[in-house]
Amino acid sequence: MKNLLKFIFFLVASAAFGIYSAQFLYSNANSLLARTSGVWSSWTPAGASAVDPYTRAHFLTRGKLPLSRFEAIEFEATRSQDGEPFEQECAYRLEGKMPLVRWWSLGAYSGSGQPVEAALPDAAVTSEDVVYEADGSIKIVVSRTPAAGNWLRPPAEDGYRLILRLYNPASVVGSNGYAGALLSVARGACR
Amino acid sequence: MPVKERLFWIVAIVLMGAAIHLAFVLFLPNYAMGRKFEVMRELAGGDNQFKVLSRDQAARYLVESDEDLVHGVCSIDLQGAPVRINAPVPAHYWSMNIYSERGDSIYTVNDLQVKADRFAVEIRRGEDQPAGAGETASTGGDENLARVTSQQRFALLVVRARAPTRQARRDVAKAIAASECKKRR
Repeated sequence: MKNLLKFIFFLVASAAFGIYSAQFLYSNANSLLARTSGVWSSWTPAGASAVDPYTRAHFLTRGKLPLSRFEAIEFEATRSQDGEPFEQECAYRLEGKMPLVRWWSLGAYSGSGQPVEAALPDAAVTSEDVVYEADGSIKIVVSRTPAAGNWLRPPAEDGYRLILRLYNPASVVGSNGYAGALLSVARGACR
Repeated sequence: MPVKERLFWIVAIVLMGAAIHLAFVLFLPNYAMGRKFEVMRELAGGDNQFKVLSRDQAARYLVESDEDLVHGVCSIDLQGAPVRINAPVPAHYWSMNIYSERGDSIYTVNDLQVKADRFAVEIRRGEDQPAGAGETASTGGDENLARVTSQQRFALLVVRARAPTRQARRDVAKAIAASECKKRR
């Protein structure tokens, strides 16, 4: 009986260790394999003809098909600058200049990967419909309640993700991916 | 528990955990890609059929897809004969990606690289090449026809075309619906 219990503990502990360590490496935005720029992280080797198994797992286990990095670079943010995960009750202010690429889009997605209320027109902001400041920078408010200026509606759940895609980024991407600054993400008032 | 026995169990847990870790990282993505092929095949009504996805289908089956893009897919079966993809290239951003059974991008092209309003890709299975030789692509002298060789039987085509407005979405969907993904006889 004692040996059986030891064996069961061995199986459970091994499975927990193996699965947790794998998920930590391929799904964590702060994984050693992800490249970060402020709160934004990207998986640079994505979309190549032969990628490492962790990058492959990062995309495919979520049901995503990665774009080649020469086609688009995808950045993901799950937390604001204070390190806290996004909350639906809070407003967030995104500010900064975007790199010079052919076009870009910013969307809010639920934890399950589905875009926010797909029928609503405010679930994404793109380089063509955003209003720029005089110096070329942009300010976007992410909040459940409508806001003046550029506004993005997040999902009605905590822990959502913001995904920023830069299309045809050849002019800004190096062999190690994009190394410049992206939008800052500051937490504003919470309801 | 004696120290020696405790050490034995710790080493056993670490070794077994490492094996589970590797199995998880190596096999789970293949399973997920296999499921993706099944879903795309079902949506298109079989292999070698091009299908433009609705916005909801793209959101559901191409997870975290860009809302501004219209997506078209084709599950390619290379058994027996090569497959010819023939696609119109719309005025806005457009890209064509071919993924292997493992989910790696084996061929990609976009509208800036294509110098015509149509583009074709012929993909064949490189059975004569040694295993692990990898995929190859060339234009074979015709810059609007690319030739791709894959080591695997199946591949997945995903066409992404930009529709900056709702009106444009209908037009772009109609335009890329004229794409073909057919086996050459």
